[in-house]
Amino acid sequence: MIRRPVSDPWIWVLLLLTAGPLLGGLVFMLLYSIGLVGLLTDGFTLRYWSYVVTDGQTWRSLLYSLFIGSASMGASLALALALQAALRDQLRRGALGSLLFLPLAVPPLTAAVLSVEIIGNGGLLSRLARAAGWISAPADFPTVLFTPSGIGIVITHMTLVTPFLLLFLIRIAANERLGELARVAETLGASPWQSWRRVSLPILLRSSAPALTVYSLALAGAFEVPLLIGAQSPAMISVFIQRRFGQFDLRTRPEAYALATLYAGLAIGVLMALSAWRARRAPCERRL
Amino acid sequence: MFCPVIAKGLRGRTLLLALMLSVGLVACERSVPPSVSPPTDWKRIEAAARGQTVTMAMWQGDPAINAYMLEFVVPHVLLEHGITLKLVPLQGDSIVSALLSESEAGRAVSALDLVWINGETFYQLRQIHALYGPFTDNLPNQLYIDWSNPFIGRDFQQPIQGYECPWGNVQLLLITDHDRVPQPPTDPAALAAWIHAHPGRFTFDTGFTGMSFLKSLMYAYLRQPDALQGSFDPAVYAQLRSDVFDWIVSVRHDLWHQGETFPTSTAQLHELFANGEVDFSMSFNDGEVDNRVASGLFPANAIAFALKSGTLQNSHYIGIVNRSSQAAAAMVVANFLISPQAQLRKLAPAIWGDGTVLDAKKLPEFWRSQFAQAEVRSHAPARKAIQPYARAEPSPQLMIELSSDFRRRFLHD
Amino acid sequence: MMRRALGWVVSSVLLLPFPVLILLSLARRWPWPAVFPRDLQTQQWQVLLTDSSSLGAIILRSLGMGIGVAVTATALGFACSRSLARHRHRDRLTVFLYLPFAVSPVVLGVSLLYTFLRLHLAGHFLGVMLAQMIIAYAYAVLLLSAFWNQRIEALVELASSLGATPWQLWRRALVPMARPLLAVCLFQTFLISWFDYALALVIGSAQVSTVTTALYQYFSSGDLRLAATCSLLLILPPLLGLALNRRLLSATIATRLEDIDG
Repeated sequence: MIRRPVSDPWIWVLLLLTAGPLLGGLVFMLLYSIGLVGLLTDGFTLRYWSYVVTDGQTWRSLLYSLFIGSASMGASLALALALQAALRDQLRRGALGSLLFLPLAVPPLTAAVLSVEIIGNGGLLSRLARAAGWISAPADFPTVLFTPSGIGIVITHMTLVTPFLLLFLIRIAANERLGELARVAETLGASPWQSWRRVSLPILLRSSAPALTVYSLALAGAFEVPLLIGAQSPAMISVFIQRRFGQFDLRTRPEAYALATLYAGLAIGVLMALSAWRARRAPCERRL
Repeated sequence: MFCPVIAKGLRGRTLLLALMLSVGLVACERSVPPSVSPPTDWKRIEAAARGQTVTMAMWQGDPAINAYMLEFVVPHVLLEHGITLKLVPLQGDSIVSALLSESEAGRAVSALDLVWINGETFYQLRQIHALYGPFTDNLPNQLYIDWSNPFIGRDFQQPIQGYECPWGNVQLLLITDHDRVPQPPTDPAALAAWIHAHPGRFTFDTGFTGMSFLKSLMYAYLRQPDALQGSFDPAVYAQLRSDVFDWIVSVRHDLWHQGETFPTSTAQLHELFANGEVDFSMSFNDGEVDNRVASGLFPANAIAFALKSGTLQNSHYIGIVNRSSQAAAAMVVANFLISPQAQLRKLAPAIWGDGTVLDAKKLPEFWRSQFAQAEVRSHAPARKAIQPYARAEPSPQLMIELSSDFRRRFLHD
Repeated sequence: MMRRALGWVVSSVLLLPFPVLILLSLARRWPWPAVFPRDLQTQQWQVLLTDSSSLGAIILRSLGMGIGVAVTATALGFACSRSLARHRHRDRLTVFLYLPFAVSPVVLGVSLLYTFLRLHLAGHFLGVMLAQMIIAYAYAVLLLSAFWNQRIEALVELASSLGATPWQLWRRALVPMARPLLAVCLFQTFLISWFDYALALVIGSAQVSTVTTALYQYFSSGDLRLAATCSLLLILPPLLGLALNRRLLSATIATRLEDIDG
């Protein structure tokens, strides 16, 4: 195969459109947050950084975001795996297979509106619970929205992510010919549970781990859902940054830039670690 | 209704002020110096305005208000003055933030011309010299404005000095469903008794309206009637804060969700009330309830009422951006917004239900009777009836302090 | 039996959003604990289609932005994906393509705002499109690089040796062969723009109204019926798109993640 040199013009386009704005933006934010850029700056200072780094809210928000991101991903993955195991063929044939595509048409903003109307204290489920005589007032229904536990955010993310993961898992299962492998395992005496647990699951997880990590990061940085149905405190990182950025307190702007830089740095760190890990792991596995 | 988001945070206020002053200086150096007095010949202004496009930043969350602007104001200024009016959804501190971003990026001309503001936003914009003026004296229709009314002539205890033009006047009212609460409680003690008798059925939001409700409660504990007048007094504030916080603590466990969480905005509170999850909502637009009943959001027998101990009344204003390239056209639009015709239409509950800033006594006879008729509303008391309970907005700083103290005390923020 | 029942439950959960949104968009009063609205009215639709900040124009603008982003991102992405697929440092370059997904759109927007202000792109729909393009383009490259396998490369070499010009090669062979994948790519990159709220908010600085910013305004006004009505408008184009290329999607949807998989 021909290996073109780096001077391939399309590679420059690629760098210009991805690394260019992102790293450029990152450098700008860094300079702004240490007072080297900005109309109001009076020179180099670390006070915004020291404020951001020592502010408990920063770490609370970061940890909370990572927690919500991984909880959303973990719960969706568990549900998708369970549904895949339970539904099997139904997923590929018939109406259900088509219905799985529906959530792709639902934007996060709408998903949040739907959560208010379905799982909120005054939502459809609470009305049905009342009709069934289980509760007598909206307040009796378990509160999942606008609470610090963030459970409403996780549920809403799950409705968006699970169908997608299911489609993805079905695809991997087909690619890796899991059905055949499982049958082999079962003829060798494994129970269906054992064959799923020891054969199918490791294959599914191994081939999807990097994608799922990037996806979890995207969920940790989610904006619309926490903005609409999240608690006021703790705030997820995107909401936190946007709030700081939009305030008219001038000092919060360099702080917002410091926060954004910090978060972007962390996300990039995770990506780098991921790529290093993949490079180390069996390079021969790679296609093409 | 009109709810500029409140700034939080006590910290760094000194620094903030210092920075603001420095922006002010920079702004003076870079842009048209504010000392250049606006042109006064109205005919010339109107001629210069013709054919221009004016961008107005306004809160656009209420379809009724949007409809008033788009179906009435926009076509009128186009037909009568040849001005194209563009609306953009921007409010409160977002306006301050947007104008700051522009000056940081060295934009000589702002993307915004007119801004719908009051209270804190006015204060901040004045601090960063982002407002054009004084201009109100140029507007022919300002003759009709009820300048002597302290609720109109002063904005959160601040003199207007011609840098913003009154547009509407509103009073904070509580809202309930008459079917569920036939005898609404009208002072803090009665309200507390009602809350204890009906656990989980009352709450307030942590946004602009909820904090205004708390400021209204402060008036019930006032030792001297004029203690909240003028500039911020930390001692008075500390005393009133402890009274109001004691009140909250006394009812807390019988609030919605045991007072562990609060709605974030009036929007959410309205939704809870519409759903029947709580029995009260509140609005800083005393005419809103009629509109919400008409659209079916609120129950048919929803009513608005004032606390006898007093509720806040304030005005909202139109400001012109200092870096606007369309000051003349912006003034013409502002003048149209305070014309008897535009104010009358805005007053009708079916249109918007926003109180007028004009003084009926100054108006020609032709308009006077129409204004009297337009104000009839069926779900809120007449403005005259709630006027005795109207209280003035304290200084903007009190709002900042109260908001941040409330968050720290009750939201563990 | 259990499996069937589970299938029904999953199907109803997937379908539930649509009746809820439709009922809300038509409800007059729907107080708790009524399971169905008391009265129906078309007022929400009237408000949306007549009163609101000329929603027609907003929809057209959002559609235009979406189509513009989709076409540009897919075209550039297709061209670049081949170079990427053949590149020595493919893996390292791929990390750059993950970046826009890993850092949140808010961070992306905030980091670009100042530069965009300087370039007079902030507050302008071109600026918002350009910012959305960064995400859509990265996505397109990731998705389309799956197209380039050894079979395709062999074909390219064969065509070149037979004297095909690069233009003929792309126009007559590569684009037609990649058509199903390109269709999916157009659809998904359209959605990146059509669903975007964060960049429209930060880069648009409230001066670029899109269907999503309108939805947020209605949500924050406390009238969820209007937010639901607006949601239906937001869902409609992607539903149509799904109906049109569901078959294509089912074959290729997973490549979205698989390709992030590298």
